[in-house]
Amino acid sequence: MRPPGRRALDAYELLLRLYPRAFRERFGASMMAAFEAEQEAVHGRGPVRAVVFWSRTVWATLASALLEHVRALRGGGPDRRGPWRFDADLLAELRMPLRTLSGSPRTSFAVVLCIALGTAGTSAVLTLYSSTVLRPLPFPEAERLVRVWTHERGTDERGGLSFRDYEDLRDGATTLDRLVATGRSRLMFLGDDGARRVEGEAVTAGYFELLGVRPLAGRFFARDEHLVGSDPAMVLSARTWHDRFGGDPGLLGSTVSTATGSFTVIGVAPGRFPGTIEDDFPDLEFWVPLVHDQTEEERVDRDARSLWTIGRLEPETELAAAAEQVTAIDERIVRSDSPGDTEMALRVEPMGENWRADLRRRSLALLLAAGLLLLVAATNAAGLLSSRSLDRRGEMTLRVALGAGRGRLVRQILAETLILTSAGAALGTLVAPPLLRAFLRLAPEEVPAYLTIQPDLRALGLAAGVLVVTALVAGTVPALVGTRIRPAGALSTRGATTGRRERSFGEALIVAEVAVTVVLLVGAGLLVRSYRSMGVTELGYRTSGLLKMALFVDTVDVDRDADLPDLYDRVRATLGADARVDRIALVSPTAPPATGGATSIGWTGMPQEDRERGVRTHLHHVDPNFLPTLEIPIVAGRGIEAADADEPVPVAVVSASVAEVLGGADEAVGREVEVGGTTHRIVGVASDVMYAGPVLRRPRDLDVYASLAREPGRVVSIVLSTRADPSELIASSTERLHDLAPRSPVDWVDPLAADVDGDFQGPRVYVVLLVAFASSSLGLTAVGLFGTLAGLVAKRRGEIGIRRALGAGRAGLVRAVVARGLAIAAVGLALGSLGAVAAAGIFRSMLYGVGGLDLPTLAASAVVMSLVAALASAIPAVAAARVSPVSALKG
Amino acid sequence: MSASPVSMAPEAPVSKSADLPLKPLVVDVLLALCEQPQHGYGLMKRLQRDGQKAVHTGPLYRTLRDLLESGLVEELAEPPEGVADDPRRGGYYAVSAVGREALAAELRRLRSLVERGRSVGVVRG
Repeated sequence: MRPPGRRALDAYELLLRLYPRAFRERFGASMMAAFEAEQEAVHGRGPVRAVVFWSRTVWATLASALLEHVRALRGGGPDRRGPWRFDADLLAELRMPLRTLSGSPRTSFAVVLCIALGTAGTSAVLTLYSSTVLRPLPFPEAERLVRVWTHERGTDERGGLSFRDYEDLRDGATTLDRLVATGRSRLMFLGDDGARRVEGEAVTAGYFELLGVRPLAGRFFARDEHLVGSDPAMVLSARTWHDRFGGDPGLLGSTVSTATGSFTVIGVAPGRFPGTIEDDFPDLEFWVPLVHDQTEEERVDRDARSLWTIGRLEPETELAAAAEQVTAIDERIVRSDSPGDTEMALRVEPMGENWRADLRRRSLALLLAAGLLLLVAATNAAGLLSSRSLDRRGEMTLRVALGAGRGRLVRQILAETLILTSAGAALGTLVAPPLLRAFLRLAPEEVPAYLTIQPDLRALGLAAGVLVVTALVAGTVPALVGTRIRPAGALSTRGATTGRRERSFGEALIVAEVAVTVVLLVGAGLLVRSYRSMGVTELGYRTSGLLKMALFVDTVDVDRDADLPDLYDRVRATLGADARVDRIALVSPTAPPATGGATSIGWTGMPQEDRERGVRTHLHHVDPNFLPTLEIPIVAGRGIEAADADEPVPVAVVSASVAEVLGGADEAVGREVEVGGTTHRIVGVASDVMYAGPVLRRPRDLDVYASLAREPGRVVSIVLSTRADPSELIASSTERLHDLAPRSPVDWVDPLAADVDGDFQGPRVYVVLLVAFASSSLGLTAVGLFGTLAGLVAKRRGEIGIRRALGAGRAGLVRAVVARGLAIAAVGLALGSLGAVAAAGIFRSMLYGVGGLDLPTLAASAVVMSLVAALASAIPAVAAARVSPVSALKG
Repeated sequence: MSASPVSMAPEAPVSKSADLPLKPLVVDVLLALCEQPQHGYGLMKRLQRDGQKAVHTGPLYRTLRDLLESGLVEELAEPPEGVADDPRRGGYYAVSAVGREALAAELRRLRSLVERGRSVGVVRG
């Protein structure tokens, strides 16, 4: 490990390079020493101080280095006015550029806008990226926190551990200083207002201590509360404490009744701690010791792998060492205990990697897009500023001829550019936070609630810095070149058209902008197409006009499973009494877009290899209404019927993928398959659907539908079909169910379409951002093209006038200017298409249903770009046509 | 060097009309260096202790450089007596004779201002 201050010194050394060499050589070493001492004073006094210190250092260095350069340019001698009058002088020098800038408001405004847009857009993405992917998790020593997963070879799936696995690891892994296990816990809170199903987390000893969480009220679990036979204790979430129990401190020590027994409330977790169930990030309401959430069977069953783990590496231990040890334990103990699972292995990963890996992959394209937007913004600002300073060469040379010092002119141009760029950067900085908030509102990102996404100073600084430096260079270099011209020679060219080389420089910039914009347009187009292709039609079932809810039938309400069908009938009757309900379908356990746990499928003649590996399928028990209500078509045989309850052998309808494995739809009907340990006779084949929803990507889904009446379940989902807005039915339906079965909670109540929509939340933020970037880039390019052509027309006003006088028609002139614009765009388009092809690999990682290289998208992007280019050229073209021969010649 | 009025006529009293007032930072630097020759960082610490708001390395060294070039401050060939030399610290700076004069002139100017303030009753005591 390097000493902590070392990096800071390296950074400062880089900053020192901004000074002129002479100054650096004279004072550099001594400044370094001074900085080191200063930095030591700040070190370790918190991030806020560090940020303030660094931004002040950077700003002070930039400003004084700039002044030092100006001074060196002025001839390097001592300040003519001595050291004492600089301030007043600088003010005087600012007055002049402000006057000049207000003289050309359109260019000034465009430059400010460019830099503001680039700063805000880029920093929004960088902020999102750094706060979700880069920043350490907000736990003490977060970089040493790890999770151990069961990893299925050849896949990217992460699975949980069994309690036995956990014990072996906890006792055997010496590289882990601590290891806790957590599990998803579901309890039914019983209150005066009926039963409520709540989610929480079951944890082993040391959980809160490992994460450095302190109780908001009361205390967390003591060691002996994790022992078998101890009194069940519970910690509530801050929100539940406030919302459900009125934040009453007297609640501590009292008991909460649940369907599985009562728990003593001993403490409240802080509001910002959301727990560590990090796959769907549920709102957890409580924590209990794992021992009170487990059955005896779960404690000893090696294959009941539903627990997650969090561990901390021993100090000075590398992740690789822990991984090696975990693998050894895995091979020595775990595998010898469950020899069938040769495809499984234990794997160690930094904590958060399970959700960060995906974010990181998707962010790549977004970072690329942000970089491209920054490039377009910088190019545009550069183009505008350089053409402006080229235009002013005449003025500059005149002033040189009149005796103005070169240094003074350079300083003035520098000051002008600095004013424009700082205004742009300031505006961008102001706009960035609300912009980011708007993005996040539009498309909430699925990240743990403990991550705060706040504007990132470094991101802002980086984006603004790139733009400001580019603009400064672009704004001043042409001017520097300009002022070197000898007055006599330069004056004679004053008023003539701009040189060919300079014009083609401006056009080259536009070509680059067009090219980059095309890449962005293609990316955004692909993402939009991909997003749409995830939409309803591809799921294979109807989602509109459907409301779903799940009833968790309690034994108090229905004692025997055999009586469940009777309850189903009463559910149908009571919900069907609402005139707005057209049809009711029942399925156990879950309705789309969610699926229950997988089970294995087998059949006679199944290849031995498949049999050993186990082919996973999802078994849904459905009533006869289910397939028709969701409009899942039957492609062979028949659907599930009421009489199926009494068939001697259970019947099943399988999805087309299952039928395919069995040799096709017609072959499959009549065959027998073993699903979840029961033999079913196939009576029909349904088309394949994305039962689990659009986002979880699987190679194929094997679904089996069996008769609900024959095998009734205690978790039953109800799908209501209605012509009304499904959400209107929520209140009345849940109330009716509550009256029917007061102790049985109702949960997962959502319009089906809303639930499907929820699955898109993750991908949506990328679509929104990329579309926003592509349109910004398109806008900037249009402005750039317009500016270049307008400048061209203005400069060649005289020539155009002569041509008009010689008989050139207006239409011809319009055509000529538009053709010029389109020619520039065409070169850019060609380059951009190549770029889009090159970027296809990056796009592919975030696409679904379309390839990275998609001709329609490319073509559409080209058309949009050409249309915008034609529009941007049309205005200057019309201006050219309006040039009157007489006035042009006069001018 | 010809452009600096100070170095042009070191023996003449420092021009009061053109060169005064000195910048407050310059006054503070000169005062600190009159007290004791310092290296850059020491100077920075001294200024901070004297209640000058944070002086940054860059601007401070620029001021020092200007003072060196106008001859108000000079770099010592050796560290002052009783100070262990730290080669990293760079040069030690001390006020030149001209610097003392300039500082004295500025302080006189300030005093005359204070006296005027007193005469119109803005300042008491």
